[in-house]
Amino acid sequence: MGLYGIMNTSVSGMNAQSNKLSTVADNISNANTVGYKRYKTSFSSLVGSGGGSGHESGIVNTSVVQTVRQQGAFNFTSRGTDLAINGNGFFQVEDSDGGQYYTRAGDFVLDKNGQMINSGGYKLLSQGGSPVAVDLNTPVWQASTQGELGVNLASNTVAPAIFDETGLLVSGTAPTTGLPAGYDYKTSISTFDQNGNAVKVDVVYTKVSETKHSVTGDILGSEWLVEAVDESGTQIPATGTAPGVVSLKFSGDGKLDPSSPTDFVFKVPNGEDVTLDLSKTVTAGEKFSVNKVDVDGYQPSTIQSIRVESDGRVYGVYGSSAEKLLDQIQIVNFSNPDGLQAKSGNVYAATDASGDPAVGFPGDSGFGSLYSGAVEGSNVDLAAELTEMVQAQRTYSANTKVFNASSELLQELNNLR
Amino acid sequence: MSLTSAMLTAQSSIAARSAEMAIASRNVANANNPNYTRVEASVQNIVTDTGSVVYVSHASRMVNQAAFKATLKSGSAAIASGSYAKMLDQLNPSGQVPFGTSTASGIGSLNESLIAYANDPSNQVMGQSVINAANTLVDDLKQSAQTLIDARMEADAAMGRAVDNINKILSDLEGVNGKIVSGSAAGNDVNGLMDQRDEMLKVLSEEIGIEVLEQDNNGVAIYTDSGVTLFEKSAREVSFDASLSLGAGDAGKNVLVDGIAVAGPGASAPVTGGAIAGYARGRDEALVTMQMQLEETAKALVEVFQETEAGTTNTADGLFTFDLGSGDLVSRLKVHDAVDPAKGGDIKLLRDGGINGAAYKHNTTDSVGYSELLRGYETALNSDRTFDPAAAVNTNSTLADFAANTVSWFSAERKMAAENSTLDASAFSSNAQMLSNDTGVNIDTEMQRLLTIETAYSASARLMTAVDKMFQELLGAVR
Repeated sequence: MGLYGIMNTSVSGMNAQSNKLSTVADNISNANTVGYKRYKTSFSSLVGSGGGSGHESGIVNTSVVQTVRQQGAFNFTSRGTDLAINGNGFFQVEDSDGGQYYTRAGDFVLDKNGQMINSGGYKLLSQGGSPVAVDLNTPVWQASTQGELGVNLASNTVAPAIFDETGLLVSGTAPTTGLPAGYDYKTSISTFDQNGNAVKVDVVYTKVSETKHSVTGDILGSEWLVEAVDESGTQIPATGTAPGVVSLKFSGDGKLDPSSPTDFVFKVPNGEDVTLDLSKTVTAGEKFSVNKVDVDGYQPSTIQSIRVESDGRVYGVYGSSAEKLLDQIQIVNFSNPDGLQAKSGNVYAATDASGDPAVGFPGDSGFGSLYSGAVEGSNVDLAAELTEMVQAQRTYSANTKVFNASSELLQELNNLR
Repeated sequence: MSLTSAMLTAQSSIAARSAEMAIASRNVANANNPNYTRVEASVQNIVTDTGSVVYVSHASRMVNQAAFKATLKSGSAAIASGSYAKMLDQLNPSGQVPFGTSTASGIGSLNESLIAYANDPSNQVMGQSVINAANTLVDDLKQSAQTLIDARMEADAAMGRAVDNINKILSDLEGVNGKIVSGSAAGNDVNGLMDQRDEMLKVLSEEIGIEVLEQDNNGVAIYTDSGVTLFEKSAREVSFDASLSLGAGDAGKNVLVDGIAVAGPGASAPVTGGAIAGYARGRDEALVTMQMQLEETAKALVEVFQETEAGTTNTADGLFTFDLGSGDLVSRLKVHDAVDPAKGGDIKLLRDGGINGAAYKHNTTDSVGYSELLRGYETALNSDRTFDPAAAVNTNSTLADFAANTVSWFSAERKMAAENSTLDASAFSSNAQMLSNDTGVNIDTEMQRLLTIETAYSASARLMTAVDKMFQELLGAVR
């Protein structure tokens, strides 16, 4: 037990409080920093030796922990590239030297190289650990390969051949295979060839026969040929020489017969085979109309903006109004996120204490989901920091009093002589 | 939960109220814009373990696609019948005397002067009045024919203008639709663009009847009401060649959409709505029928006054004849030069016969009281004749009755067109009213909404003041 010991103890107390004050200062200054996690200061006593009749004062140790686990509140922005994780997980980012870090700061912007960079200057990594790279300049296009076309074929269209319920030809000529001379209805669809050029293809419908009950005259079914014709009026075959023809069979009520084929294949000139789903085709009423048309493919265009889904998929939205899946962002989780080591720029590095990163997609079990158009704000509560500050201030003062007291005692001792 | 998160919640509430206010003010600003569709704020909230925040995710457009389509449809029907009715009205500008009345009365005066001349065949003055009546009738027919040609040409030109307009709208629409689709894919606010596109569709439906088909990402495909593709990812070509002449017997050209005839004679997929349908109906149906009626009148006039060679059954044109050449009959119709004193002819040839030479002379004795030929003409004029059914009136009647029938045919057609036009117009206005009630801005509702937003805003601001006060207390404690 000694006076110097008391002085050391109070100095350690002052140090501890100034540590606390500096974390409070950090916390308050970063109260509006995206992805910032507040520091929590805790103290532990180091007991001095002695015992029995005397007491040797110890010192106090400070330990500072960052509350990485605690989520901050969301701030909504209107930028689609601003990302926030609701729940567990960190974005994987990379600095300019290739060092890999983890962060919750999702205020990314698309830079001129097509990489997503946050305010700390870190590049966002996607699955596979390579930076998300969006090609901003190279146009993309896609040849048409499939689509859907549903029309209503007027049911009162005259059929060149009439059959009775036994399949016997009643009047007209039995349809021969191949392209009939004329057509009944025509509609055109926009397709794209392998170079992304728009190619207009006419789809023509020709009624070839009708089956009527010989006594009642009820219509029992009808058959229509569907063909594709190019701009010059020539029939377009499917790949090779197979004719691009399909024969649709309708039942008496005007709906497609279950036995009828519904897929129609034709080859776009200088393009690929397009499979058109004709299952929405009906024959009813007295007017031809189109009920559904949707063919894929798009012309060359460069990217206009990107969109991030809640599962991390990054879509490019192109000038041709096409959307394309570019990448999928993966996030990582740690067994003890609070053990991560903070680095400048709101990033963390993995340590022994944090454990190894586990990689997963947003929304997977154990991982948070992604919000686009929001950033995670700092988790600092100003009120709490201010009260902590007052506490630290008071405790520091008390420590200086102790120091003064021991200093005065030493003075007394010096004056003994 | 902490003071800071309370502050954040209040802050987000204020931001959300501001966004709601911006949306409500957009509504109020467009209260009188008929093409505007009301938008409403879609408010979402997100709960995290540190608190909850609200935000306005987007402004949703209060569309009623069914009412919109019904409005387009009735709008194009109203324009079709309206433009047709207007065309017929223009043929009858005074509104009192229907088209063709002057022809009917011209035939009447020809008949009267013929009777007068037959009663007093020696009187050259009477003869002159027959020639005058004949000339007046010819002039009148020619004038009527020209009026019809002008009307058909005007309809043709109107169709040309409509086609130009359609092509322009379609190419504009291609741009706007592209922006809507890519904007929707990127999650941008495309409400303004969609209003713009709806307005374009309205204008388009005034020119041609359309069907609108929704596509992914708020895109549309557009078909004519007869099912021909007008727009599907890209605009289809709409073409029309204006006619150089549209006399009787000249058919107008077709309007082609995507290579398919949608208006004009023999169109394979005729449209029923829009100005094009109305003008095509006038150009290719009503006016063609009226031209046919004039042609039949001219033909009948020539036939009635034909001379017969004495002693044979050979006939040749008499008082009325046609100039040589091709083209419609009315434009070639004239009073025979040989009987017209103004052209150096002799009126007496009408009484005696011999317009086509001495062989056709019947009054061989040169009797001044000879009136048999004149009586014969009068009888022929007042006896039943057969007319072409294409003239759309009673095929078996006297020429005078035929002329009267064409007048009543026109009056009836005009009356029907006017009635249809009124009906369609009122159907359109009731549909438009319904659409506006559904999707338009109701100022009362908006005012109520403004009050609600204001109250909520004040409450959030009060919350912020309270939190601020607490902070002040806290800061006051720090010395």
